[in-house]
Amino acid sequence: MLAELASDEPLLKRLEGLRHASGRERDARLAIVHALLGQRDEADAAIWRAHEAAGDDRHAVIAAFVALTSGDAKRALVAADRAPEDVLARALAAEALEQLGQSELSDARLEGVSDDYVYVRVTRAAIALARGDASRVHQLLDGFESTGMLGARARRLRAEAWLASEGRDERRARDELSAGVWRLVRLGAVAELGRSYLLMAEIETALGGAREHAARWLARAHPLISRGGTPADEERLRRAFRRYGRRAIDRLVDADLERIIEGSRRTRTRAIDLAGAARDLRSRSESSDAIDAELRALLVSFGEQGEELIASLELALVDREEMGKLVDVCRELLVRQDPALLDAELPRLALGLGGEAAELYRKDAGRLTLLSSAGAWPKEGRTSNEQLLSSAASTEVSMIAEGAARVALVPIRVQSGTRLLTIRRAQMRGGTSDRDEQRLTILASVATAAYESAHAAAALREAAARDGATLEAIREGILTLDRSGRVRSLNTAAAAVLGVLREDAEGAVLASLAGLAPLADAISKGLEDEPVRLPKVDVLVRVRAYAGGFVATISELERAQKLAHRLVGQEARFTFEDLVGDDAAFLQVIADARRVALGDVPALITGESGTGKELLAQAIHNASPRASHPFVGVNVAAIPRELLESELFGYEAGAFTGARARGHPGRFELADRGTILLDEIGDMPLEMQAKLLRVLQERTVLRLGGTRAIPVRARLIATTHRDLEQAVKEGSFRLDLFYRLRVVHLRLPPLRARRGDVPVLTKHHLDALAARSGRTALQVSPAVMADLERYSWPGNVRELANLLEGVASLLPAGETLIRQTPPSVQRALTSNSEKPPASAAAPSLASATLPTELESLEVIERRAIEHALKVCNGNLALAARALGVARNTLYNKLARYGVKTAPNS
Amino acid sequence: MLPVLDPAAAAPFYQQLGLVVAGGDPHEELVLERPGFQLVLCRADKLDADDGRPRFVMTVSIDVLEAVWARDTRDERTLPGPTLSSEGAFEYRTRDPSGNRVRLLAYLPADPGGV
Repeated sequence: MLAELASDEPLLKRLEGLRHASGRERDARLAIVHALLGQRDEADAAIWRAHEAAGDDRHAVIAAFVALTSGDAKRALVAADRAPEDVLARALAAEALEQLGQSELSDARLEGVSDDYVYVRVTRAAIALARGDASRVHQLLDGFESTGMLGARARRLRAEAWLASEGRDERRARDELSAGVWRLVRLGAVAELGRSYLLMAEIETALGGAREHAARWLARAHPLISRGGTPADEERLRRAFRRYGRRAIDRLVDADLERIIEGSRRTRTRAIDLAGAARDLRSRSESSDAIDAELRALLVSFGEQGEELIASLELALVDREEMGKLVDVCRELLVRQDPALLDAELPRLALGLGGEAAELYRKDAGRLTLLSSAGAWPKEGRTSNEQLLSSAASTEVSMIAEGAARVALVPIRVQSGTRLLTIRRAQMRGGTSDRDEQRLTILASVATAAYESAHAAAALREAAARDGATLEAIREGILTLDRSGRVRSLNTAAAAVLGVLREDAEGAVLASLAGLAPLADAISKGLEDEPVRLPKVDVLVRVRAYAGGFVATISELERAQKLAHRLVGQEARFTFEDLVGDDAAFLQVIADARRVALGDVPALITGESGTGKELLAQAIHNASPRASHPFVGVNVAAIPRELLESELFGYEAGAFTGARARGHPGRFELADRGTILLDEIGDMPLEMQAKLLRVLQERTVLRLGGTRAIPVRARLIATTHRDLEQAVKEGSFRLDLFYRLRVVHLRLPPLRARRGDVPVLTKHHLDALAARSGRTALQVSPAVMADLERYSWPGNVRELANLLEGVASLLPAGETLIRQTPPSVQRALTSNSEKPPASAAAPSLASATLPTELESLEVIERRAIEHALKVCNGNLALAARALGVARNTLYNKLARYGVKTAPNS
Repeated sequence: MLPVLDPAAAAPFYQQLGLVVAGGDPHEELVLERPGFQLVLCRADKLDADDGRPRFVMTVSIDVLEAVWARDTRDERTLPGPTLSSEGAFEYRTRDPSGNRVRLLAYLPADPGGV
């Protein structure tokens, strides 16, 4: 046997050689080689075969060696005791007894045996190491040189001694082990190599190497020990694995179960074989004592395997129960999603892992602030905060003693501030284990993740609330859909416009909601500012796609148009109620206008400046079915001729330099189904008249640079103070356009033609002034009223309104009666009672050259303007008031006649 | 490219490591190869003083490592053997015939069955 143990020949090579060999020694040697290779069944079979060939003592030694190599100390002892005088058998028995915890008997077996026997020396060293006596190992093995398995084992024992002794030297331990491993690798001695790798993991850890290196040595050791190791090796491996995590333990438990089951199966097979052999012997009336003894040993093995199975299952179950608790606590932590809640509940949840009390602190600038606690922490002898702080300086879980109890310090590093969780345990079961620390480390990691997740969730909630409030604050409807057309959210405005309940709509497929399929279709097409007809209301939809779906803004078309109207045009504020007068001609115009309002044809309103042409146009609009649609006014005279076309008809993107990137709708488009008022149409350039005529004929507009004909649905009202018939005669206005505009012609009479309306108009405007200013309505004395009625009002109703506003503003506080005729009216009446002056408020125009019959009105008008500017020293506001026209009208006329104003104007 | 005093004299050492002569001039520049690896030994009249670091590192099998070690121990019996590194490789430092420091690595077999 010693020869086999000292040989450096690779085991597999030896095995191959022995398979082809014959002779008495063959099976005995095979048994040893199989045992060294961890092949227990084959080793047992070889021993069985060798029984006849080997002498009794020799057979006993080999059987004991095989049993001991398999970790079966009892069987080894039984076998070794069959050769009580053999030195090797005594050494084997001593080692078996040592493993069985019977040290005294072990010593007795080797009493008087010399260390000159190399196997005895190595065995004594192994026993000494098991007893923690490293110096004895050194004493026995330092300077000892051997080859083969024996040498390798001696190296390992020495390495372990270097790791355990007082003069600890990890590097020497590694060097010793390196030499041993070198030999074992060459030999292919599986179990001993596994033990060496296991030891290498410990040396690596002791040398402060990377944890991964140690884990890798364990990973190398695991299959080797599983294949050929003893239960003691496996327990040692299991202990090492406990430092490296759950999965390793799981693998170990699985391997345990597999090995135990396989062992049981082998034992059973062996028992059946032995029973058969015993029957044969008995049938031949031969002794079966040896077989019976082995059968009894097998029975013992059965019992041990059962115990081992239970222990292994317990390990798995206990461990899994603890892990189950940890999983429960972690799950609870992760669902909190609120940092404040975690602060409040973490101690209580942590007690789920065991312990009598727990506290949570926040670490701020070297101080601990208690956030929450659970359980009862004894007041006496408790660790001070300063001690906790100094002990918790590490980023890892640590344990400190607190009287008989132990306190786990679990640092939780969160961006918002590090927490320290303390858990007090009065009595740890079996003390504090690596697994406890692992579980608390996992708890710390999960708590950190829970806090970070909770902070993120809180930020998300805040953002969602802010977005929700923002959406609700928007008057437009906002609707979000996912890619499948399912409604993700909608604000109250959207629900109201679509006529759905939010709770019904959210989560539903939009197209499946009653009547909303066209909207779903429009959104899926990504329409922009397109009207969509729904059963109850027409809506304007604008869609924006994003990665997750679509966001659509939805507004009632009518409201959108009103809004657009407010932004781009005048608001049609006046109604027929605002057109005051009892004059028969005036009332006839109003009556005609009321009828016109109900129709759809273009209307032309003419009259002097200030007679209320635009006011009448607004009244027509508001009395028409188009009242809910936009009223868009365009002062043709006020817009530069080169911009007029784009203003009226709009333009496409890039139509000209400076055009908006997305194009611009024209006034006709903006008016949509409402009314478009072309003010001062008599001043429209001829080329534009042609284009306008085409629009009226074809009822479509073409944007500048565009190719798409946009339908015109607006009703056209045109106004002018000019005599269009005369303009046609002069060739400055197209006859065909004139006819098309004049389908209905409303002529507003000047105020001087309806002097009887002056009192009622005066009262109307004074009442309106009072309503605006919140003052008592002013009255006009009969004398003043008589003067007002006599005045010619060249500026018509607008002049009257302006005059009254000026008088009212100058009236002393508390005065409610206008007792004096305004000076301008007074002067005009005084200077020319036959021909009232053209102005009421301005300096007298009496000196102006009177028109002759040969002069056109335009010439007279131009001369009057020039004179007014001269008299008013170029002040346009004063000149406009003196002429009785609005300032805009004066500007238009100045532009039309090319009158230059003074620089100071 | 490794400078040596005599490529022809150095070649057997590297052939022992598993390299095969692939060409070149044994007196000036000798090319040795193994799959995926090429070494060119070039003649140098004098070698620079080394800084203690190996000039050549190569991974070999346990057998080769043992052969190199065995050859070395013929000359010097107390020579320390290969040491096991944290990464799981035997490491052995030696010198080639020109005196270049050579570091050899032999990784542990995944399934040791006797090498």
